Amino acid sequence: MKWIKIILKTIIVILLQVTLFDRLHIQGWGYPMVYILLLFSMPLLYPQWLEMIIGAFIGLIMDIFCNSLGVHIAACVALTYLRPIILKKLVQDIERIKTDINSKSIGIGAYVKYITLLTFCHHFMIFGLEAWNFQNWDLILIQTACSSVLTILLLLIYNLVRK
Amino acid sequence: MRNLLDFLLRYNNFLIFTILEVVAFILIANTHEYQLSTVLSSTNSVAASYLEAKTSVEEYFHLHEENIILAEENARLKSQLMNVQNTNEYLIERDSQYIYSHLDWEYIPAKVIDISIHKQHNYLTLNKGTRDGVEKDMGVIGADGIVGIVSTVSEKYALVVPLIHTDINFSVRVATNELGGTKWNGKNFKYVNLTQIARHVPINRGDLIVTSGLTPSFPEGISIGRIHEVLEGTSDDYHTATIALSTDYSTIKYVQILQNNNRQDFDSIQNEVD
Repeated sequence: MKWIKIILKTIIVILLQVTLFDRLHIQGWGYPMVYILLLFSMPLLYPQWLEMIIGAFIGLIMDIFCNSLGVHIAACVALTYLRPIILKKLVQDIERIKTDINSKSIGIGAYVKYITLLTFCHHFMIFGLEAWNFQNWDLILIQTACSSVLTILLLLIYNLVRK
Repeated sequence: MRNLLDFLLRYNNFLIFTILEVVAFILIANTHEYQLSTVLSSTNSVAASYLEAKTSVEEYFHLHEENIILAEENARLKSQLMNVQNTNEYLIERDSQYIYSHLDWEYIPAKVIDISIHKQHNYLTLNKGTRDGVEKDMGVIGADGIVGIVSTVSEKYALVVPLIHTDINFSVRVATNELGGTKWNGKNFKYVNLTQIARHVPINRGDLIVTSGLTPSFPEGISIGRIHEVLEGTSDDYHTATIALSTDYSTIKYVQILQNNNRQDFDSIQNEVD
């Protein structure tokens, strides 16, 4: 039952991303990539190699929809690799939050830091790798900044609204 | 054995991370040849079916605008037809080749089920594939001008590389019949750069840019856009100019795929030359 719920949640978030959030483009300045919520809220119960494989798999599904094979995989794998490292720095009693990671369990301040760092990293990789060169480095930086702000805002709103 | 494996995996996260990243980077590097896999792109039947269903729902919200666009195109085609009928007999007498050269092209109508315009490497997904006769390298045009070239085809869907893709180069002709190319800088989906037009060739703002007819993907003379801006003062041997595209990628919904009936002849001659 628990697994069906997780799989359903994954499918719904990815479909929302490709249908709705990919379209929220602000004149080429950027768009929110809220699907990384799936990776942010993943419990710390499994070995990290499995987390990275799950990250790669979610990235692959996004790449199929975005025609950018490899870009989302690389960014999601980096995110799942850095996630426990950053969480250990931000939270003292890591054992307590193993099952659910949200703004309530780790505190709003720590949560903002947690998603901000990882979102910037993920989005920078997405836009940088998509361009594959730094000819338009200014555009890459602008898109990274705008998209990150949008993603972080939406994820925080979601975290505060839900119980 | 299992314990050993667990041990290795637990203490070698960095190794797994590196392997996955290397795989991802190899995939990205190969993708930029602009030929994508039919399974690992939006021509994938599951992904494309979803995109198609989504587009069908969205269509209902744009019926009014679509009607206006169709009526306008209808009017334009009718006036063109009138001109053709008036000159028809004259042309057949004068130059039968002219009429035949236009019979060599057949149109496959298609619907755009997905499009990206704000990336560096943009693509369109169409709802026609190999079973409808679509092949790689076929040209795609919209109501206003050229859209792009088919790059990947699955059974039911096709992926199109538009003019707004930083890796692509289109062969074009300016008003004075000089040949040039287009190149997109990755920034604004309304403009592309004009390349390879030597400085002594006069070009002005508003000049029409059309397809050259040198590739088997497009007939000659299909509109690409008009010169938007000519930058002066660069010491280059070539003009620096931008073209305002006739196709508006942000609103495009229906396109036609061009089937060249002489393609085989063209390819065999090309092979002989090579």
